[in-house]
Amino acid sequence: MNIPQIENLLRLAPRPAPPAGLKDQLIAQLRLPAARPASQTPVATLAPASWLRRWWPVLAPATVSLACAAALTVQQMEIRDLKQASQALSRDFAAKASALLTPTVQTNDAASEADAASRTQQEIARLQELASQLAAEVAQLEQMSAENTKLRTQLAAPPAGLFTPEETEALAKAKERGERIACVNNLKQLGLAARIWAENNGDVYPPDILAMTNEMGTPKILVCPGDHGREAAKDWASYTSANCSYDYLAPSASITETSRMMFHCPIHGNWGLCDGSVQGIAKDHPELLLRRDGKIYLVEPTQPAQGAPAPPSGNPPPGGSNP
Amino acid sequence: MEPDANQLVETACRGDRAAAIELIELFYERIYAFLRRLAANDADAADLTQRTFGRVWQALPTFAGRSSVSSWMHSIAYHVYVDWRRADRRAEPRSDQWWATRPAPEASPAEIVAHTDMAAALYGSVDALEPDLRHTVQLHYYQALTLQETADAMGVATSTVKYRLRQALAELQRKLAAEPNSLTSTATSRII
Repeated sequence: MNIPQIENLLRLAPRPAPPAGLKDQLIAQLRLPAARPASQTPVATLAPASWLRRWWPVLAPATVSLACAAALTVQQMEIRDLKQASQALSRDFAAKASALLTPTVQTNDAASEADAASRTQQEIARLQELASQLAAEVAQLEQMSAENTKLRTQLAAPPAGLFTPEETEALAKAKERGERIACVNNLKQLGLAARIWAENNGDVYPPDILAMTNEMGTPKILVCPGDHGREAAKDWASYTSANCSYDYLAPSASITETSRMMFHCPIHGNWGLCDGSVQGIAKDHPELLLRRDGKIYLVEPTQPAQGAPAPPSGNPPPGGSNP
Repeated sequence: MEPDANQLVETACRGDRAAAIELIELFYERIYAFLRRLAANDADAADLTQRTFGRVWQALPTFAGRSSVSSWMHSIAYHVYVDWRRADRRAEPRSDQWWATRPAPEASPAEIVAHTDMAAALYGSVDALEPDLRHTVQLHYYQALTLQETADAMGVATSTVKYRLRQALAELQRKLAAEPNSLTSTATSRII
């Protein structure tokens, strides 16, 4: 007997018949459980989804892995875009750096700290550019001063009958005017140095002049050209208070006090303000100065004191020599 | 048939007694036959059939449709039988050769005698198989379950079912080949 014959014979095997009454007994013992709510998943609909139940342990980690991969890809793309945007911004910033160094006041809305930091850097760069320009002007002035000295020596012993008294008086006035302008230049450099120091030290001006020697560059700017009895120190190591013609009036002041006086030249009456500007106020116009709590402020030009005369025409008007 | 059985299970889950009775009518003969072959006793088979349907009603809400209703019920019946045998520490029941009284229908007297002897030898050989092989043969051939349904009912893999069937058929063929003369002589003597 071969295998197919055995299989056929096995399939044709008679089936034992149940005893009579078994069906009735089964029906009598029928105890159905509590009715299941119709909202539960019906049996018929579960059968087609059996593959999902069987493969769920594999599909779930695979789905999670795919989701993680997609999230990582999106993050990488965003990071790349941000890097590209950052590089583009830095290129634009470098290209516009010269334009940003112009003295125009930044009126941006300071939206974020990053913007504030970038503006601070721009301001520092602008001030450093101004410092270099002023240094160049100082060099030019020194050259002119040397020429003036040479001329002065020639004029010290003018040949008799060379200048008339009117010409001599005109020369003296020109000399005094030149010294006043050099004094204004010194005060502007001092104000600029103090501003640079404040930018690097929490927007507070230095406690004394020696604190900002790195920002000033040379001690010569501390001596007024009209102060003939005082000499500039050769270097900062040999500097003493005797080598300074100007009064420092705003130690540790905030840069927000723009109208406060910071430097004063007692010879020419020039005042350097905390905003970096220099004002020439004659001694006979004290009403333009407001003294309060030991501090000196400049009265706004739009609010002149009652009965106060106009400033002398020989001095630069208030606010007329802003940096 | 299976979709109907699934529908009946779903309806019975909602408490429909008529659907449950239809399930009984649909399956109780097959379940009884399966258990009768396992238990080799009419009374035990009837008792086990009642226990099986008792468990079916309890497990009705948990039927998830991962297998057919037929294999699900055979699985319950098989476990009921195993539990019953373990609980009473019964030995593996021997066959009572009830089929000897069941000749194949629509055959000549000689064919009936020959067929009966051959079938008796074959079914006796099946009863002498190892339990796993015997239960596999009973589920697949006697109960007409598919390979997948047999595997679901026994809780084994389909490949295991195939392996057991091959092993069982080879062993049956070997046993039948070892005593062909006795079969032939028995049939001949009965014909004469």
